[in-house]
Amino acid sequence: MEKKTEIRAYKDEFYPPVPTKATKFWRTNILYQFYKFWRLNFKIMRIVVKGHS
Amino acid sequence: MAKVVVLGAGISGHTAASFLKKMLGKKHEVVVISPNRYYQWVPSNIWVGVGRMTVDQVRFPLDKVYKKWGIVYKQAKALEFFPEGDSENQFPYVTIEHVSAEQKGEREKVSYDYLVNATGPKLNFEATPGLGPAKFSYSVCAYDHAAHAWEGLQKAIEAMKNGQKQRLLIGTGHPGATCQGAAFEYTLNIAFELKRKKLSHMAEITWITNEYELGDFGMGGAFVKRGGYITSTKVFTESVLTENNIKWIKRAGVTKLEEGVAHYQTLAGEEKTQKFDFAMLIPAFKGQDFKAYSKTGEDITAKVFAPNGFMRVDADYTPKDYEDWTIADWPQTYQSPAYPNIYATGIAFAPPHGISKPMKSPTGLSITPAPPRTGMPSGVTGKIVAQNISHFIKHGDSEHKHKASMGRMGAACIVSAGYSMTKGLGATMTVSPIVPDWQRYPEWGRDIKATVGEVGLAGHWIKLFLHYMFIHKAKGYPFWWLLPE
Repeated sequence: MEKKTEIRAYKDEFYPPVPTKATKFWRTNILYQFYKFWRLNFKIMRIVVKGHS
Repeated sequence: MAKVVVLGAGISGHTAASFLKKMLGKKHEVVVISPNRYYQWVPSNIWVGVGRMTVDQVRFPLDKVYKKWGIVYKQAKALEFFPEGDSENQFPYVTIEHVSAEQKGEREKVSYDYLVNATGPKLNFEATPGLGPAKFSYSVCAYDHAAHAWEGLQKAIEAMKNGQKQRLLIGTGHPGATCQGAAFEYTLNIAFELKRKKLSHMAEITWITNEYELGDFGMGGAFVKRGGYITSTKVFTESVLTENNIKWIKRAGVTKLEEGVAHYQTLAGEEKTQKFDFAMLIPAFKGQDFKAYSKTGEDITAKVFAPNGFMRVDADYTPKDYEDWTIADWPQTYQSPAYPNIYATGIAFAPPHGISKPMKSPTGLSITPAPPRTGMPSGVTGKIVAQNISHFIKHGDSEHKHKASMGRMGAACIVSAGYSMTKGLGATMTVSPIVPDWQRYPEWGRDIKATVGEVGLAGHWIKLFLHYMFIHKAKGYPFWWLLPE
């Protein structure tokens, strides 16, 4: 059985933000990620093209 | 007819050779010398390391492709450089030793008009006693290492299935190691696979790194515009590790490995140990230990190569304090200042200094990541050197029309965090430029609009897409030259 992670204050692991259920949902939502795929590819292409003359 | 010799057939060397042949055509000769008969798409090795890809999915034999293109291929390793020739040869040449079964041990002198050194790094496992696939840890730096790591990981998984808790230690295996990204990907992929197998509770995964803060990745970290805030990659990386229940040890220089134990020194000077059942630790990189000689036989290695074995190029190697580092120190043409017909691309060129702030422990141990030059910078530098050399040969010109400084070029790093077409994850990180330009971007050092840090399924698709795209390109399939580096 999966053990639920217990995150307590005063530990390094406490300080960073952790994703909510909604964030996790959108991370694997096919339609939203399909949009992200093209958007991120476009951003990467811009960097590649600008990078060398 | 001009003759261009390319040493190495990795991402940079193969890119340089393919563009040289395309631009120079049949009139000129392109020779590739590489001891490994395969091209490998290194970024996918981490998937071999978790059993999601086979070795043959990340590599292919070079000879067929070079035969198709009309490139002369010699399966051999370079040994010595004679950039002025010698008393018997007026042309510059390199000495090589064949490693193929048919010609094993044979030595040859290969003359050149232009030489491209794209020999990549030597994986310096010896720098950390006990480190490496032949000793107490695994590596994912090469496809055979990654396949070996998968064998080790399977044993750990079997032990977990049998009820034995396993301690997995992933990260950097030397105080000056680089390539944190690959190790980070491997950590996340292991966490993902264990979750899929419902074994997360049986594993204690620890990320050990020489970074001062997580998310440094050898480039001094970065800032990302995200959710209405500008956040550092430190927060981003800690968030990803926390979410996956991965513990971390930072500011740690691994100094020695014994069976099941990693010894490390912290930046505070403390000597500590970390026990493990499975460890994948990235070694330090160094140059290939080449020697160079003048026409009279004098050893000129120090003139051509930096002390770390990488080749000196058009960078400013004057020792400077961290505060005085600028992007102008970084090379743009990758031409040797000593011999203008020699270039070094990809990891083979000597960086002028680090990108991350140098840190030393009270005992004097430098615990600082080396600057990364893998992936995009390797491909880009290979291509611009090919463009410049073919321009010189075709037009008799000596002006470099194409330039690419790491202080100008950006980079995309797609950190795989799990392999699945519907549930997989990847962290897409982009920075521009790679080396922070504090004069141009005084606030964040980089173009904040071009910097991305996002986690999602799209990242996995992009990484997979890049895998197939670059294999397509490297095999010389139709329209390969249209695909960007």
